[in-house]
Amino acid sequence: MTSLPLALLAAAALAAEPPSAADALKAYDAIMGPPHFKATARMTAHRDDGTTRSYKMTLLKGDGDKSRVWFEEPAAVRGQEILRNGENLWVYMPNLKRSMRLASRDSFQGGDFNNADILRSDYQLDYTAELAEDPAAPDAWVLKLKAKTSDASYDAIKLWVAKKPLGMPVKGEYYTASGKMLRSAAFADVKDFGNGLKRPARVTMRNEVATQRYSELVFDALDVTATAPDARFTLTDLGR
Amino acid sequence: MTSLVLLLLAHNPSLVTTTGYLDSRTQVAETKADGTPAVTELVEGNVQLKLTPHERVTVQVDASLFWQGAWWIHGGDRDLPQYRPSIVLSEAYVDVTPQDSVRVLVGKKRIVWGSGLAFNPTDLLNPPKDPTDPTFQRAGAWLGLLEFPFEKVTLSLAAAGKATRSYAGLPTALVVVPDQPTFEATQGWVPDLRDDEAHWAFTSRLYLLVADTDVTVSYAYTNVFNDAFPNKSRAGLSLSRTFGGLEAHGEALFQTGSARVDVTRSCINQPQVCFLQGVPIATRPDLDATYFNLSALAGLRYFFEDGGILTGEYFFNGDGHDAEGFKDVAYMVKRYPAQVQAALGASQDPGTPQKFAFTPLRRHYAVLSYLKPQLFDDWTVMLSLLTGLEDLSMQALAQVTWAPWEWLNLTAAVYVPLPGVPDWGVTIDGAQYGELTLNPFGTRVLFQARVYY
Repeated sequence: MTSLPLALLAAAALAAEPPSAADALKAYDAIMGPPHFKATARMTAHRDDGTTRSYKMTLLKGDGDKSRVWFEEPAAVRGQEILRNGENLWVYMPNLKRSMRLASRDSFQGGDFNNADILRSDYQLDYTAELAEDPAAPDAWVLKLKAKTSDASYDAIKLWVAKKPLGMPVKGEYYTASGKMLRSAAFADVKDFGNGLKRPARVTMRNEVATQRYSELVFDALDVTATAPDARFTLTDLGR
Repeated sequence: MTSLVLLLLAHNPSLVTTTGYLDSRTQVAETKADGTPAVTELVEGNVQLKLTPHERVTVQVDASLFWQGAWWIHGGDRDLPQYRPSIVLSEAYVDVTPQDSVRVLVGKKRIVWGSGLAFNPTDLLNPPKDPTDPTFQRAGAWLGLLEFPFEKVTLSLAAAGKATRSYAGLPTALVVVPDQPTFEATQGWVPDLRDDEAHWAFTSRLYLLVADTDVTVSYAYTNVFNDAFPNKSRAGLSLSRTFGGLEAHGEALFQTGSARVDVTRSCINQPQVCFLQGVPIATRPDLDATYFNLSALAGLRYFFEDGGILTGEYFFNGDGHDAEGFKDVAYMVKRYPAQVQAALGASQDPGTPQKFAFTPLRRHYAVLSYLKPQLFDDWTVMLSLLTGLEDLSMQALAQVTWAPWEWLNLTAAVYVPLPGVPDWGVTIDGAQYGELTLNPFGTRVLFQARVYY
């Protein structure tokens, strides 16, 4: 009869054992950036004057670090596309009938997300991680991320992820190299998108420089079974 | 075929997407040459239609209907053919992907393989664009394209035929000019452009994504397509790469000879005598020359944290004139614009009406532009400066756009030509000109309203 309480104690001890920072980051990436998916989402930018601008889009993620976005609304940006392949980012402009290179740190459609926030979620590639605890958030681990290269979208990130399920994001803070906070994020409305994926459906990104501004990204659907051939992630395919 | 597409669409109307805009452009200008209107109005109705009857087939059309008016014409009111209503079919094509890495496209399409913004020296197919605002040219060329795209490599082969005759912007002949002259030509209102040539082009390119750099190597063979070269082979190279917030790009075209137009100096003061004696006022002496010639562009774009973009480009025009040759051309352009036009022939499709049209006559140019979006949320400011580096004449553009709603853009712009250094330009009939002030317009103010749907 003594074996069961001992096993429970051992399990409790194991549960309290912190995971490695790498494991926690890997869990975060698995939730926020499945290997491939197709999603529909809407980004709403809340501006200084209290008005909003809303963008409806379809996102496609392919194997490797490849992704693509099609803008459907509003009419002024309909037909615009963004393509990411590794460190390379292009925007297709329908009025130019051509694609041009973009920088990862550029603002995504003038909102408070940058391009990499939307098009890249593989933090393991871009950042080194250190695990810490936050007494104010006992149910979460704090991942302190530092950029490996200047191409990373932020120089440093503090990411609060749930202990259970490990990696589920709670909030984030995004910094410059000098330690100035540029943005903060809140992850909410955890939703079951099917096929084993539960993740926040709503991400609110606050601009910590222009503090009246924030943007929300809401995922309506996210299908992790959707796949696309490599040809969908080529410059040639943009505008089709 | 059409009925099959319509049948497929009728069963699934969500496969049709439409977008477009209604645009009004009002211009008030200081005029400097005969036949130049001080006030113009251009109304454009644009529709962009995309049909996807099958996951591997798309049909795309981008067409604009223009209504134009011109008033207060320098030298007296008259009919100006270039301000008549017209239709511009910018693109209309069928795009088929029989396999993931095979693409076949037939129709009119704008293909730009070079990385330059203000100028694309390797672009031998498309109508010219406005270097101060390249977003205004949407028109392409009639072509067939065969493409083999892979993740980091693409091979493209395109054959294009020139629209040799058009009515109201719609082509009625491709590749060869019909035997019959146009009515306007029989009346002597426009040059008779009939010839025995087949106006076509073949272009190909190999695109590579190497070390995070876009590399495009191209080859083109053209026969009196968008320029006067018969049977001309040319090679091109284009590069583009980002370094953090900085994008660097370059584009170059390599060829022999030049399509440059030289003016016969003895005709400058008496072109009518040359006409009577059968002496050509303008010639292209280097069309068959064998010397090596280069046109190239190098540029940088910097993306600021606040969304602003600063762009600087240097353009070397290998077909440009030296100082003396430029003076000869400038004299003819200012004194006898109609004769120059008749001597050269108006052969290139202008595509979409541009806010500022520019044909480089000299060799060295710089374009500097700054775009700042989201100023007070809804305002965008653009400043652009095109400079001829040999006389420092400039075309300056300041533009403010207000987007009070997502579907409406209101724009005010002012175009100011600056003459540059007097001693480096040309004096004609006592007036100083730089290259960028040869334009028949002086300062122009433009108001534009665009409604998206």
